[in-house]
Parts: sequence; C-alpha cells; structure tokens
Amino acid sequence: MNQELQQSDRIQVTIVGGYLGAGKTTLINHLLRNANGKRLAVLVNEFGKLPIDGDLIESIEGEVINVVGGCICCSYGESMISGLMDLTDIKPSFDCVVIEASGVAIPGSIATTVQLLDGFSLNGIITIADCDTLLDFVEDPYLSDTIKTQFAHSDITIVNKTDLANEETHTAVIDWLSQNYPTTQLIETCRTIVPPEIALDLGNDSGQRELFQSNDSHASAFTSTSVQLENAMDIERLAEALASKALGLIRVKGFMKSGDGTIKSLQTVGRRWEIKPVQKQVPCHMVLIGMKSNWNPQSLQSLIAKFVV
Amino acid sequence: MPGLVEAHSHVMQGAFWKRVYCGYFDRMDPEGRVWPGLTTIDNLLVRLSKADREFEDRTKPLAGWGFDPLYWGSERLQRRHLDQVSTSRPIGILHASCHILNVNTKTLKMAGLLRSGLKHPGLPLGEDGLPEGELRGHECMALANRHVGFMREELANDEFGFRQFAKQCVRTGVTTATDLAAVLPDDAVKMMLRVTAEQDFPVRIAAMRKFINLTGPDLIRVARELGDLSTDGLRLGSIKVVADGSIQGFTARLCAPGYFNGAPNGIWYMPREHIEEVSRLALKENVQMHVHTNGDQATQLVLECIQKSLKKHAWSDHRFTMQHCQLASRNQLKKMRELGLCANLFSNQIFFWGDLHCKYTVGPKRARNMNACRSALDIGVPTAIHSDAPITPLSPLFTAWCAVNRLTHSGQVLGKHECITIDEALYAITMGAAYTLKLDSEIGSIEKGKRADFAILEQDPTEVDIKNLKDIEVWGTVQDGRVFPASEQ
Repeated sequence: MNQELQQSDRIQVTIVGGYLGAGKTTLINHLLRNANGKRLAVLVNEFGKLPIDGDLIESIEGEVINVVGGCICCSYGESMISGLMDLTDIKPSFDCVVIEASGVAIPGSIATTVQLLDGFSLNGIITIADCDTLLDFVEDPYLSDTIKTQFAHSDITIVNKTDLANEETHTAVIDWLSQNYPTTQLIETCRTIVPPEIALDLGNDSGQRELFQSNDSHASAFTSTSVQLENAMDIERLAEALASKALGLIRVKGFMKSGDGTIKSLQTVGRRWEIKPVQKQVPCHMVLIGMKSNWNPQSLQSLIAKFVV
Repeated sequence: MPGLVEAHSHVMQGAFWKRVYCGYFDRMDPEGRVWPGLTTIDNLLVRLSKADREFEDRTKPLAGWGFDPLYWGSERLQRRHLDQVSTSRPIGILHASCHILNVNTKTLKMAGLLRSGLKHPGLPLGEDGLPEGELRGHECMALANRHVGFMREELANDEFGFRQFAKQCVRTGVTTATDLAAVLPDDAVKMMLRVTAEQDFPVRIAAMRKFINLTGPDLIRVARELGDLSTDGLRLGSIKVVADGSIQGFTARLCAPGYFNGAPNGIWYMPREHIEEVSRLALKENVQMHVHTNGDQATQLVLECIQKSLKKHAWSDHRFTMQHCQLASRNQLKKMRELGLCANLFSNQIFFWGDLHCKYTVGPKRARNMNACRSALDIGVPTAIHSDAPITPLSPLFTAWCAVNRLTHSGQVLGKHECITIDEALYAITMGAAYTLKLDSEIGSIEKGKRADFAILEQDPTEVDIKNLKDIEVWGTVQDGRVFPASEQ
C-alpha cells in the first residue's frame, strides 16, 4: 500500500452498530438509495443477510452484490479487516465504506482497528437503538454489558422506532442514554430516515446541494447551513467549539485556510472532530447539520467569525 | 484396541508443520521427528535462523507456530529479536492459542503498521512509539496474516497439509478425526473428497461447516447439500456454531463472579437470535449441530436456545454436542442430559493452561471443576475428550492421560474429584467420541459388522501405570482393514 497516501485520499469508514432489529439494515438501504453518485461499499457482518432491497440490486456475484450507482455490498466472513483490505484491490476505489457490525459486536473496538489500517480513516460510529426494546436488553443478564459497551464510543446514537414506544419508554430511553453517554449525539427517528450526510462523508462538493428531504416528519426535522469561509481560521479552536455539546451540531464538514496559509479539512461527528491536510484546491466553505428545533444560523455565523485569525 | 477418534481437531494442524514449530513442549511432527521445546528467545532465534538459511527463496515469508511464551516468565518476544533472523523477508510467529502473532519489522512495514501515532489495545508500542511487533487478537493479526502465510483460506485448501495431518493421525493411533470449524469452500471439498478416496489414505475425516459468512437458513441448506456429498472417507453435513471466545484469551462469557483477575466479561461471537434460529432449523432439517462454548454463561445461553428449539421441533436423536464446554456446572450437565446433548470436554487444557486458569482466569476453585469428566459421566451425559489440535497436540492417549490424572504443567492435581478411570478415558476417546459424531454404529469398538479400525499400541493401556498412559508408543493403525505402520509414514 502507498505509504505516502495523503490523509484526504483515505477511504472514509462509517461503522453502524446496534442490536438485532434496531434498524441497521434500513439505514444502510437508505444510504445506498441516497449516495448521490458516490461509490459506497457496504460490508456486512458474518451472519446477517446481505441486506439490500431488491430494486437496488444490479447483479450478484458470489458474495458480492452490485448495487445501482457503482456501490457494492459484501459479507466480510472471518475477518472484517481482511474484508476492508480486499476493498483496496477494487478500482476505481470507493468513496465511503459502511461497516454493518454484528448485533453483538462492539463498534468502538471495530473503530479502533479500522484506525490501524493504512488507506482508511474513521468517519464516525453510529449506533442504533430500538426505542421500544432497548431497556429490556439493558436488563438482560446475557446482553447488558454488551449493549452498554456498544454505546460507549458512539458518535451519533439514533434512537429509532420512536413511534412504537410509548411516551414513558421513550422518555426513559432518552434519559438513560443521555445520562450514561453524555458525549454521544442523540437523534430520534422512526425508520432511521436521516440525511445521508450524517452517516457518510459525501465529499467536497460546494455545499450548494439541498440537504436530503423526505416526507418523513423525522427527516424534515434536520436542517443545514452552508457558510463561505474567506479568511484563515484557528481551526483547532473552531473544531472544539463546533463539537461542543452545548451547540448540539450533528455533523460539520468544511475546508478552510489555516493560520499558516495551507488548506485543511475539518470534520465533526457529534463530539468528535478531526482536522486533516488537503492537497488539492477546493473552495473554502463549511456545511453544518443539526436539528431544526434548535437552529440559529446567525449565531452559528457569528460563532465561526470569532475564530478568524 | 479400537481405532482412536479425535472428535475435535482442525486439519490445518498438518499445514502448520510446513512452518517452524516454536512451542515450549517437545512435539512430534508427521514424519515422526521430535522437535524439542523452546525455552528461551535465544533457542527460538537459533531455530528460526537455521530455517531462514535453509529456505532459499528470500522473498517468501518465514512462519512459525505453537509459540508459548507464557512459560518463559517476563521475557517477551519483540520485532528487534526477529529482525536478528531476517530483515529482508517477513516473519510471523503464531502463538499456541492462535490469538497472538509476533512479527518482524519487515512484516510490520508490509502491513502498513510501522508508523507512529497508532493506538490500539492489541498493539503494544515500544519506547520509540512504534509497534513492538506483537499483534493481539484476530483483527490485529488480520493485518499481517496475509504477509506471513496464515490466511485461513489457504490453510483450508492445503493438500500437502491435509496429508501431513493424516500421517500424524497414524502416529497417534487415530483412525477417525474431525475438521471442526471448516468453511469448506468448493475447491477444498473437492480436494478432500479426492484425497480421502485414495487407496492408501489412512484416516476418516468428519468436517463440520462453520456458521460464518451466511445466514442460518443458508447454512442449513449448505449443510444438507454437503451431506449429500459424504463418502466413507469424508463425512459432511453437520454444522459448527461458535458462541463465545476462549478462557485464556479472556473472551469466553462467564457467569458471575466473572474473571478471577477482574478482567471484563468476554465477548459473544454471535447474537442469541442466530443461535436460536439455527438450532431450530437444524432440528427441523435433521442437521447435527456442534456448539463451541467455553464460558458457563455461553453454555447456559446455548442450553436455553436449544431447549426452546426442541419445543418446536423434537428430534429424538439429535446429539447436538457442546464443544469445550469447559466450565459447565453440574446443573448445566444435568440440563444437557435432559435435552439429549453430548459434551466434548477439553481435557488437554488442564495440563497446558491449568496453572494459568488458577492464577488468572477463573481462580483455583473453579479451575478444579473445569472440564468435569467425572461429573458428566456420573450425570449420564455422553462424553468425549479432545485436543483441539493444533491448539494442543493431537494425541488421544495424551488427552486420556489428562482426563485420568488432571495434572497441570507445574505438577499439581487440579480437581482430583473430576478424574476418571483409564477405562472411562479409553471409552471417551473411542466410543464416546464416535457417539458425538454419530458414527458409533460404524466405529469406536471392535464388534462384528463394524469397520476394521484399530490402534496398534506397544503396550496394553489398561495395564500401564496411569502416569504412563501418555507415553505408550503407537505402532500404527489399521483403518478400514488397511494396515498403516507409523514407521512408514
């Protein structure tokens, strides 16, 4: 593998975890449907069905499903790492990889290992909870510790199927998650319909594209703002501010000049942030995604302006 | 006596002998040569350097296996040691547990791991901030396996290794052995069918399809298709399910109070719903299932799954078998009997890891009850004992010795109350093992109408001192009426 690989050329890996029935498969189909021309590779765990909706399937070759739009889905068998390494042999290369973890796998530990792999970088960990059954699993003597560990390093936690849970359960789930995992960004959905930008790095287009919309009331609960960045920024401090819990942003992706004049990319996923050098020329701008319920573009603009150097 | 039956082994043991043996204990290779155990890093490096000189293709990897530094005290193998052997070719040394790999600098480079800034619990770093060359756990090892020749797919379809395994069977009196967690790709099945059909191939192999890479319903379908391909020499059609990890690797699922040293509980290898589904389908479609459980919590969960499934699909003679099942309690054994399950216990663990289990994993009290052969037999669970080769050496007489004496490496008797008699142990490595494979009507005893499978021993095992059971020399075997002297292997 090329040792000189630039950080920004690395394939972005998103890990999707959660127990059986939480909604991982639904999320993956949703992402494949809305990949927006990006080549997406989905690796599924070793016992699951290859989870692709029939109308998305172009062809099946052994353990690989070819999905419309140049995406693929394959089962990773004995080793997720070998599965990832095999992807690097496929040309043209993929823009993003989504790993669907097995129901008992620990997404955080998968993430740690992904970070060892040359050529890949971690985009984020999304853990899905079935709002109706989560607390039963938390009480289950066989599963309790596994379930708890699954949320431990989750950047974004999707509380799904909120329509199936009664009010009391719903509140209890949100309380339990926010008390035990204060750093995870909670999102509530019915059918894991979220803007794909939340799960995937959809690249460095100019930010003009509309955020994914759907009639689903949950999907329309999201919103985004695009900000042009002409000036050099104190990127680290900006990143810290944008990832703060108080602000509650779900995701930020942007390109900007740093104090030394070089272009850097900044990405936040929930409370985690990452800055990488960028080699190519890209327009300097930033897209911020959050919930409509607490959205104030003006105050975001003025917050960002504070970090101009 | 009747031909010996190894009911839990992996045929990749044979392929391992193409690599350098690096274990702490003396071990006999398929050609009958005894490789002395290695007790220091210097010994290890001398052996590896010799192999390096003899192995002329400088680009090919040098691989070793069976490495067991647990007995070495604090001395730890690092890449700088292996670099003394070679800096130009990749080197990888697999630990006896198969859960840790030590590599040299060249391998680290090829795996893209010779970088600073890496942070992973399975990748210890040196003072220079670079990895020391030890890769712990399957995911870390997976980064390097392909560079040092430890890809599972390669090992599965290694004809030479398969033949070596058979030779080793003859040397240890084994006439039927298992490949207990095979992925069984088409080409490997073809190879095994062809080789086992040869006039002079000396061992019958039962290969179980592992539950991986496909869904429960597909696994059952594949198992049934494989079953149709079964021959005298190659028995196919049953499945293997893995519920948890290993006790010495702290990945087995334990009931309270958990690990003795306070390590967090182990990991599930698959969700309960999958175990439940596959056991239900297996009962429905009459596919025999072998389930790996090490920890008592895993055993409990699997028992509950099977109990549920049996309510949906009764199969009077399913003989689902718990493999390893090392910490099963008396209550669990009773439940197994009630549900018609067999136990294949891992007696060799007592010798190789018994001291370690006392000190770190489960503590002396639970260690004394591990691999409870006496309890299993008293309760009436059909019982076999096994080596899990290559994890421990293939040799049913050694395994029987372990179950009879329960001696650890340091010489302590670990749970005298769980010792069994020589007769019982000999039964376990013949009829007991055959029963778990559903082959007891064909093999496992010398009876009219059964196959002419014999282990030919230099001494009568019922007459030797129980301490010497493991040392009985094997002359060879008769398998299906054909004579195979060990000396001609």
